Amino acid sequence: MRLKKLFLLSLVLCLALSATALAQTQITFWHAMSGELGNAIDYLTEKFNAENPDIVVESIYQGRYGDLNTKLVASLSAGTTPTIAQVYENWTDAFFRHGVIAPLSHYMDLTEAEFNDYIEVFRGMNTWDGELYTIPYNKSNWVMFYNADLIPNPPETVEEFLQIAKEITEQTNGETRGFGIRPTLELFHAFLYVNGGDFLDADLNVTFNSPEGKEALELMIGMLEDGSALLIDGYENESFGDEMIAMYIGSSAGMPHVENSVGDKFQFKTAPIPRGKRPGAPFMGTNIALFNAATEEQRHAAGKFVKFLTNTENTVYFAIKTGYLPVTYSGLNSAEYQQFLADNPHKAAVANLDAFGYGYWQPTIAAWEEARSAIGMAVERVFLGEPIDLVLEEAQMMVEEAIEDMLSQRY
Amino acid sequence: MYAVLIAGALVMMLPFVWMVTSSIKAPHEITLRTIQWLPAVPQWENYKVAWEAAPFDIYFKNSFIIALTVMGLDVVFSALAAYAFAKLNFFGKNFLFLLFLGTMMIPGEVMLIPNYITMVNFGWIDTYASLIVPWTVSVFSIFLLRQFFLSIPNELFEAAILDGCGKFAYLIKVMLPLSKPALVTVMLFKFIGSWNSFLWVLIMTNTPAMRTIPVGLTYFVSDVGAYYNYLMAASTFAMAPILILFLLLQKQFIQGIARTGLKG
Repeated sequence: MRLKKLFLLSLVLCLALSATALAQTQITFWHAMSGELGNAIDYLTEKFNAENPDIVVESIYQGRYGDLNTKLVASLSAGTTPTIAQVYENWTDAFFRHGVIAPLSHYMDLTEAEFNDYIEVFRGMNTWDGELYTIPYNKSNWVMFYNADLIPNPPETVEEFLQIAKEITEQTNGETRGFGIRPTLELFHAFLYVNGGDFLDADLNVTFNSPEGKEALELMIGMLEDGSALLIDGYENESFGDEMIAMYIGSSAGMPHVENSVGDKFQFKTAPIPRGKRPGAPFMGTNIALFNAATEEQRHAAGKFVKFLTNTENTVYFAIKTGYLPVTYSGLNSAEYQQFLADNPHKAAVANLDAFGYGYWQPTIAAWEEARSAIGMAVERVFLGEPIDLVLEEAQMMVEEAIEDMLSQRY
Repeated sequence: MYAVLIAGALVMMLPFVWMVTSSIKAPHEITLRTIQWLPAVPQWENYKVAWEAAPFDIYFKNSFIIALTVMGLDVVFSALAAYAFAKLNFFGKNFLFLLFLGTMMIPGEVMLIPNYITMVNFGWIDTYASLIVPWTVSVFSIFLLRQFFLSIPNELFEAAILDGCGKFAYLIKVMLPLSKPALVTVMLFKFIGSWNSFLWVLIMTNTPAMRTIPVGLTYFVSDVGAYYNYLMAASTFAMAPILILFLLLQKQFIQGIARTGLKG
């Protein structure tokens, strides 16, 4: 009798256990976040799993962005994709063209108000085929970091910027240069855009090989020649912290590193990138994509998880912990985030509301991976002393070829 | 003569000394324009922070298991193959050896994705098998051992055979004891290679439980900046085992390089 009871009891237990096991939906999230970011995402994942006993999310660090991309490409060819992953826009475009991702927003039960709560610039970066395919996650913008001990009032226009950079170099007898130039595509883009230009137009025609592009490069070269700027390699925050330069333009995501290298040597602040013919604030960072291989249950579970990651409370938590931006208006305007900005005035420009009005971003096409390396190389060659006209001409040809390849499906 | 050697040794040691002193610096001391050899206040807790930033206890365990197994199996297989190529005669020997050498010309990156698909088909993803088995045969090890074996006079081989020694027994009893420096060299190269392997490990695994030390080192570097003090602390404890191994086997290692004609 006792044995029978025991048997029944164990049977019931087994059934109960398998029922919960069956009801649980497993999803995986591949990302490239380590350090503070990794801690923040681990915390949010645990919190979500605790609140949703029917879903198990596994967040897996897959190395840096390049490694993550390699791993995603490998997993696509082997059919072992994760449910969701962190992606750059040009990866999304390649995935979209190959038909291997699904529109994540379809599985998030977004009300119109919730949809519109995602900051417009970020929605723009995540829209394919008129749909919000991917969801913005760790977004940053580029701002100007400046030494507030040397520069009480940051420059608002390019003319003021050139003037101040020159003055700083003169004041310090060249000990501290006004500006730090790391020859990157991003810095070129910053000066190109405020000069009224861009890399490509809406029809994917190359527009950087133009008077605007030449002037942007000449402006930077001119600053090196008259000594108001210093050419740097390595991370800008290091030369900045070491007082070799008084200003640089860089990613808001680098904030913790700037704080580290500056220490208590001087006060630093952030300001918008000075405006030229027009203002401009570049936005960057990654988004979350949903892969086709996921089952219907997994898609809905992933939608729920991403909605949770980007809700007001959690997007603010992530922003405060990491230096990235809240991805929603409600997050940006929340009392908690506004208080955080008030407590950390050096971060004010990072979440400057005006910037969202004139935000721009790099082309989101699959061919961009190849195109950006061609343009990046061109910028480096200009700083090695090669003639600007020739270098831009060659870069234009390479970019056009990459885009043609993509459009003719040979990509 | 010695002055030159000492100067050379100092130059070689400088990066290591710099790594160790940087590992105990405060963040703002790392990038100073003027050379500062020692931190104002040694930041010993950098080691604690670095150790806790990633599951390094698991990574160390995995690195040891993988590197030691790969090293052991590789030296066995390479010695057998190198012996065949050096001392035995069989049809197509030179052609096969050229084919082996040819595989050294293909960069590993090219084969990464095909290899990944193979591992998926084997069901080896996220297991020790994928991290160990593909690395147990190395053409470089075979090549290096073959060159060493060739330098052992054939008269020894003939004498041993005349005395009734089998071919396999000759390898075990005569060749291997004579080849200690080369074997040690192969083992050290293999251990270091396996210990430092990064991309393969990252691609073939999905859980921290299966990963190794180099994956942990990436935690300190990002696209916008690096935590050099923690990175240097982690690098110091990551390379300690290799340094100890090298010091223990130094004598054989140097002989191995010198006698196989590999020195630059």
